[in-house]
Amino acid sequence: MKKRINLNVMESPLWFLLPYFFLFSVFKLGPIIANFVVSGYDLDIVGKGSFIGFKNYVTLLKDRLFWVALKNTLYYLSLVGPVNVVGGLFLALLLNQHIKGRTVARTAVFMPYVIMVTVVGVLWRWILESRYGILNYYLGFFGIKPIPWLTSPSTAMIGIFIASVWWTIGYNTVIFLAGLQDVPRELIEASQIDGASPLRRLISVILPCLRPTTFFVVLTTIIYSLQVFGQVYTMTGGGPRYATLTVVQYLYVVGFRLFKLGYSATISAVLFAVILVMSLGVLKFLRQTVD
Amino acid sequence: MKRRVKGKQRRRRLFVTSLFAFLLVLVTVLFLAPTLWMVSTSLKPKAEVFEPKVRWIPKTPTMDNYVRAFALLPLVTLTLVLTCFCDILAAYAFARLRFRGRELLYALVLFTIMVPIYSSAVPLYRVIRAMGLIDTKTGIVLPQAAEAIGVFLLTQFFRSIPKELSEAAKMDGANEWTILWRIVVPLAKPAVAVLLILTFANTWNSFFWPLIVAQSNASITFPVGMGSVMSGFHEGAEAREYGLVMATSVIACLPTVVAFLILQRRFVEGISMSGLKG
Repeated sequence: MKKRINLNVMESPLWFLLPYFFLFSVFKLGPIIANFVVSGYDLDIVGKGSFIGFKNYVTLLKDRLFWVALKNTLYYLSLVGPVNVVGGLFLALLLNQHIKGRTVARTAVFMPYVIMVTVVGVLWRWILESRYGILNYYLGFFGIKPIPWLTSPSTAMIGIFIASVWWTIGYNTVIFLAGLQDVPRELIEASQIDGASPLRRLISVILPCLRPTTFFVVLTTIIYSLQVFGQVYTMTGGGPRYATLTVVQYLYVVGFRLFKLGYSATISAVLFAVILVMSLGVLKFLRQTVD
Repeated sequence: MKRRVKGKQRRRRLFVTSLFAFLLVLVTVLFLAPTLWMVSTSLKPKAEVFEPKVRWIPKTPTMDNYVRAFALLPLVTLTLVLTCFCDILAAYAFARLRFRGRELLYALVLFTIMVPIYSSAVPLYRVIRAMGLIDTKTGIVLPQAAEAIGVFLLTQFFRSIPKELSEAAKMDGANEWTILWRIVVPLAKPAVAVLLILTFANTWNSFFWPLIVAQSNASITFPVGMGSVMSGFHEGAEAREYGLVMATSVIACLPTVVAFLILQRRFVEGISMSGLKG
């Protein structure tokens, strides 16, 4: 006797999928696809405009500010990326030790991540303030002269980098911590019996087990770093002299301050392409080195 | 001879342990200090905020900043309920129900996780405007409920729950809805906890999208409100009320921090079990 599936109409998968897919298609997938269409138009504030093909893309190639923004974004990634991945792993290893008070430390490291980005920006702007900020105050003890963290083009990105690491590294730490829980106990014990040093154990046992975790962390770090915006918006607004202008900050100003919607969509499309290419590149590179 | 080796080992272990303990304390202090500085500043009267001497405990503590900041507090919980509900249903379908095109649909959902909100902002803005939702809380909340990360997280988790459980329930005459809400969801508590924290933090903290949708004060969310307090900073010295700004910040952090502290026991466990880490 053949069993009949979905005898009850209410049990059809359709009803389970409908609520989410309504939201998904209208607010997520639809706009993603439409963005490529919009990037071919010369749209202004009222949304009126004509089709101009790839003209926006040509303009973009010659747009000096866009290249500055792209360069700054990659610079930011080169600062944050290594620190967030290696530092996140280091913190996870530290917080995984059986020492009293590690719960407090875990909470301390992860808590910044649940703080909203505007608060992070505002708080660090206050800490990095050149005259009244506490960082310069304490650096003064070591004889270091006040550093104009956010007001000088050469240090502004470093200031944003410091705030960003404090804010986001806890996320990577938690992911690595979760990965560490899955390292088979037997392997650790076996290496202990063999008399392997802790460093040796880290390199030969723990790191190989963490490979999938590391994939995930590297990928998300790249994806999110390329989208840096909130810190920049609240801490420097892209200045001084475009030193911290990032791609998203630029597309925000172009689209929603100057209301060149079509051109803004073009910048978004290019950002998306950059993210996609870099992610796939990293994925391929990591796969190759593993095999 | 053997004893000496043991003594050496013990000393080395003691050294390593104390090194770790020291590092742990150092890390904790470094990470907590900025937050404590925020709380400290928020409790200071205006005159004391700009004293050149760093004072962690205010001379004359005041709640003044908080009284003023409270007026800005908004309500953004609708997304949480909406997101969890929709995500649970969809995840259940992907994890447990069989239908044509399931893999393709799931791949599509996963793909959008990689696409940043910025890459759909302009069309999304037009959709929201066409629906007449500019400047409304609904307009801010709906697109965030469409994020795919929750579906991914829950699907992974639901898959790890033994199928025998639901098959046994089916023998007893339970339908898919009962199985979902009575068996699967209660077992998935750690994953739901992670989803709650992430969604809450994301919604409460999201900045870019509310910044675009909220154009007047009526619908402004907390982060945008913070942003506009800050943009006053660009203009001049009279707007530099760091005490007020820090009080606002503390209030802004409270919900997520409290949620995190309540749920944190389950947090590492939940991430570990859901396979979020890849």
